Amino acid sequence: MRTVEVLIGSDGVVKVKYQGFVGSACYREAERIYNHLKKLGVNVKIEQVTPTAEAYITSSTTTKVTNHV
Amino acid sequence: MSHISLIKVKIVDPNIDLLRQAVKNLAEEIGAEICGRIVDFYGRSISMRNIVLSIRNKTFHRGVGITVKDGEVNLKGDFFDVPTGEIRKLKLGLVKHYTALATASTLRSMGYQQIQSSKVKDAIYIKAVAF
Repeated sequence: MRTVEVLIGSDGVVKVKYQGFVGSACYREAERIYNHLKKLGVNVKIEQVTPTAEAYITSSTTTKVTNHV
Repeated sequence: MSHISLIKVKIVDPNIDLLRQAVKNLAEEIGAEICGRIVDFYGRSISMRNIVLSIRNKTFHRGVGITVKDGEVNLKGDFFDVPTGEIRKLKLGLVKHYTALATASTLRSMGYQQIQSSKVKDAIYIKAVAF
């Protein structure tokens, strides 16, 4: 489950929190969102990016190895 | 990966339908009404050219028009005796409501579901979930 939370302040500053993304997907998603916003007339200037604790969890895959005789 | 971004936004070349809705939402927030005419200090009508929508309340009792010219969103009106802080607050309020509508629309078009929007003090909070 991927979650995007946005807090739009009355001072023109917007806080966006991305959760549940794997690897660097949250950065790609952020880019997509900002591009969409630009098409609607909202120009975004990134002031600060802070990785959350979840950022340090990486995805893993398991491969089953079968011996063929 | 997950992260938190702090961004600053500026409205350039807005979508007119979204802007109209943003003005209506702002009007509701500040106790203003939509009006069809704005006047100057002497009560003379101000041209409604380029005005998308105009609103009036106690602070902006002569009315204030929201205009779009060369992609820029501006306020039009006679602001004599209106505190500068109130004008700035109105501009920022418009940016806030427009950004909220644009964000919800963006997330919806990107396939997010359960998009909830609520007010938190002076801010607008949006939560969107994708499965």
